[in-house]
Amino acid sequence: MNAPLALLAELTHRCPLRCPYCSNPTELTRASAELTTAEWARVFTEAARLGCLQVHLSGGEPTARRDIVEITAAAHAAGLYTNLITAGVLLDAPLMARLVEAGLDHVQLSVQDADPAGAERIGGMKGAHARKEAAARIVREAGLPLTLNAVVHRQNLQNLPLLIETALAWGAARLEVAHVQYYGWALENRDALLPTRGQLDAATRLVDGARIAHRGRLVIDYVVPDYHATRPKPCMGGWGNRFLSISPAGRVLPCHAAESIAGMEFANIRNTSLRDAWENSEAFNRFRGTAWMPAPCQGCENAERDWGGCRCQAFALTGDAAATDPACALSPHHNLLAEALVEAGASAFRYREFG
Amino acid sequence: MAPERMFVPDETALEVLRLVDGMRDAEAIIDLLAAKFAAPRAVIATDVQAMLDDLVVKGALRA
Repeated sequence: MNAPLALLAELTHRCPLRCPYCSNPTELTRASAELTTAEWARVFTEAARLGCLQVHLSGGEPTARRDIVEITAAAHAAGLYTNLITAGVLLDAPLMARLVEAGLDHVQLSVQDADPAGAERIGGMKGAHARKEAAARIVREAGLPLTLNAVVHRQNLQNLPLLIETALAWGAARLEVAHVQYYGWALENRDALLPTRGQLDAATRLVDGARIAHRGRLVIDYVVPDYHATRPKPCMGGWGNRFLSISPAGRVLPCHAAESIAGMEFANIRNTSLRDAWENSEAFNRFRGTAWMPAPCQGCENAERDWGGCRCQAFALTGDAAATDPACALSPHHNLLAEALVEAGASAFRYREFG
Repeated sequence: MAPERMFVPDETALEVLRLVDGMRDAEAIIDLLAAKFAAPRAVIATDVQAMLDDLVVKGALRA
């Protein structure tokens, strides 16, 4: 069994933004149920002992936690490379200084659009874009490397050239252009967010061109939407292979969307060790490796390349988490994606909110 | 290391990376390696330059 190399620590589901494609589950955890500082410190120590090298401090908005500095310090003390994934709207210079002091290594800042009005409509927060620009400056002035993370979809892809310009202007060394993936909130808003084939192809061409134009200055990571694909993505590099996620309430998950699979039970860090959850929990072992695979994955030459695609997407679209991901053209459910594309085109969406 | 990516150097790459200290330039690194392994400088230079260029493109090193 491999060691988990990266840990996604979802510290809270609280967030000042309300993006309609939020990757948090539709059933959000309230502050009263969140893990304590000491519980997170234990998680980091156990993760490092398991062989984990980096932690993504995420949420919700991680800086909404009053103990974000102590949490960062604990992750650093455990020997982990620490990455803060933030909306940036709560970040000021004094907090940044304390985070640097605590050992923070890197900041990943989200932008919702290059156009402030569009960004504020999508994020559902007035004044957010200007605060993000200020946050980028604060990160750079603190001497930390900055990644800009742009989630793209039908309603902002027209501004992709400006998003690339924004990354350069704000001093990012890396830009992540991530097409929305459709689980949870994004699945509810799919009709408003799914890009057309034309939009996708234009975006891919733009990214290819920008990679060459800004070679050595800006690294661009590109995550494609698989609704237009014929082969599924190698989700998480394989279930329970190299990645684990901890929810705000302490559930140990093979991916951050795994709670969307109805009927799955997850170990909780409050009553188990991280090693036991990783090695022995039913949730991690259910789809680990290739033995669980149905046809056409079983025996497929791509089985250890794409790992049968995404379990959450298989469940969301077919009701069976063990089915071949419908993104694969060999799936008997592949037509579901084409049907979704035909139906897409709505402009209204529903903001993420506590139920 | 960088977020969401990891570079796992092999033994050869490690020999190069141990000499990358922010002060030495590529030429100095090539000189040291050519001496250490008693190898033709041109061969070393081609390999080292290709590796360093690749890391610059990936954002792991600054030229």
